Amino acid sequence: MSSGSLLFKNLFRDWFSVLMLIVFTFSITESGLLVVRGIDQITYLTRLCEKAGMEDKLFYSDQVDDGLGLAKQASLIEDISGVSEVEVTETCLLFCKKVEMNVIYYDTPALQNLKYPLAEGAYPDAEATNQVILPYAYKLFFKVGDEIDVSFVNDENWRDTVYPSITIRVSGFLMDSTTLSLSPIGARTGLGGLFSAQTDTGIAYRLVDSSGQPMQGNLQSLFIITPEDGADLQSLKEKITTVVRSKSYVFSYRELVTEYWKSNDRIVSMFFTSAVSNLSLAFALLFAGTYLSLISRRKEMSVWYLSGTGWANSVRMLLTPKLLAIIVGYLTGLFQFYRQFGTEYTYQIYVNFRWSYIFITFGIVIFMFLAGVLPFYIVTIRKSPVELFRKD
Amino acid sequence: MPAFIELKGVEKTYRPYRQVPVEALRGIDLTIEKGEMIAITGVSGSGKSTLLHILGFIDLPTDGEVFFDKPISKKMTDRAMAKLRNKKIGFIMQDFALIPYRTAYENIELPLIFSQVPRKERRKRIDAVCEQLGIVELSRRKVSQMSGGQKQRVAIARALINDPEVILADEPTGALDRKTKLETLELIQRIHNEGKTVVIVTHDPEVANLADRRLVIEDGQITEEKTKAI
Repeated sequence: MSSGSLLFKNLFRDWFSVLMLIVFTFSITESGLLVVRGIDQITYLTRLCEKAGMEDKLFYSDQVDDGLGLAKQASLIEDISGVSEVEVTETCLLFCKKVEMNVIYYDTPALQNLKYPLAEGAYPDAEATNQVILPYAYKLFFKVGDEIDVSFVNDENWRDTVYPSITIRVSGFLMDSTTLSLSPIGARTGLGGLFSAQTDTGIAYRLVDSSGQPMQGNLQSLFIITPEDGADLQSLKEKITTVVRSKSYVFSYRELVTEYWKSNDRIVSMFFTSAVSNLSLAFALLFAGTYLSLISRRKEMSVWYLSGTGWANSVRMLLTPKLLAIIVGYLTGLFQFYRQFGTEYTYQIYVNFRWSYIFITFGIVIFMFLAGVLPFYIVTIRKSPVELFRKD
Repeated sequence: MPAFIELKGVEKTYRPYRQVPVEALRGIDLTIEKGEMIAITGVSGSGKSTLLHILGFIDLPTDGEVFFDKPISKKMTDRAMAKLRNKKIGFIMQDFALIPYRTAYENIELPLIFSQVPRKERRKRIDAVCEQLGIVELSRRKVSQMSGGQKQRVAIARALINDPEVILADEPTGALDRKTKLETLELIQRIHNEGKTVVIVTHDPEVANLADRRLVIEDGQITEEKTKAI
């Protein structure tokens, strides 16, 4: 039986704690979203790799920058017993009047298994040529199904004035705009570099010229090695190490993931620290504020009770501004995060949105509210209001 | 025909945590007719306020029967009690029971808000009751800036605003000087003359003498009942 006018009066009466609660809930929401988004982004590529079966593979990153030597290295590895396949990644640059695009060839079997979630469109058929899937930001320029005439640039022709032209078809857009970097792993990039987010790179499938000949991209000195079924990864790794020229750069998938986690340890712990301290402050404010309200405004509640509302309702009327403050703080935090969609928030965390982020952060905020308010609510409504009318 | 308010064998026992239970009321039988004015007297701790709380649906008895226009269930909900307090009863308390940092208008408005009276209608009724009690100029003043007599007038205005059938007053003049006490008693008398049932809890014989009937409570029991000679 509460009334809007009384609710507003309560809000104004408690304006300071309401304001503080809005600010802290805003911070919790922001940092909560950052933690959730950060963890999602940091684990996104490893989760996709594991789904694509990369866990069983070995990686070799050649540290010598010579294109010709790479083919020899590949054949040396292929000759080792227990190796089923060696895949070398390729990249190129495509550009048209509107924009230029870096793409990685996803023609090799290992990479074809890697399916990034798409915001729009679909992965191309196995036979279709000149198909590309672009980062989300390219939706500004193209739509699914667009056929675009682009110039093709690789390491061989980049000094030319006229580039070969091909027609590519936009097959879809990446939901998260991040792909595996697939660039050589070395001292400069760190061993976790394989999983670092690549935000401006698209994916190309079967690029061919007008006569149907494959368009050779730039070979990347990163080899994905698929062992034969049942081969022991450790002994295979040792065998590969003996034949390759960059002997310290043969890794199992697990080793790379471990290095990747190590390189992100500081960021993850920083996110957690920030979220936990905001949560603690907001919780302390809510807990102390609720307690003080119920103590200092007992008289007001007793007057409401006498004037014809239930005791539980009197308590609820006192606590409702706190719930409203939390909802306003949460929605403002959500809106502020959403406003930064697609931009780098901090430490290479790119703001993106999933329903799960909203559910998780809302759950945290509601948990904080319940933990800070519910015990007082239950204790207060169980106490008889008659105590408030005793004269002696 | 049953009386307007009837209590049969009403008992109230408080059971404080880790303390000996206190029997505040022990087998109270009481009948109140419509339009009657009753004074309940007794020493401190005799149970007179507890009896008022039961009559005003602030509290429920531990045992016994309560009849208020109709039989009242012993397991009445918080909401049903609130509805009865809101519609049927007006309270005048010794400490005024007003919110000090709100204006007189906002305090008087509370029972109307809880009975969901529209804003325009609320304004009309508050203006009328303020006019009737001579507190028009006080309506926009905060209660904390008022004298005891002014506060009690505001409390009476709030008690009357929903046009209740019963007015329950707990030591209504206990915190007032003599002059203000007499003014307040005059107001209560006027309310009674207009046909309202009034129950006053008091120590003060001067106040008790106003009533049609005077009950004395000792140790939670009615020990004496005097009817005013006409």
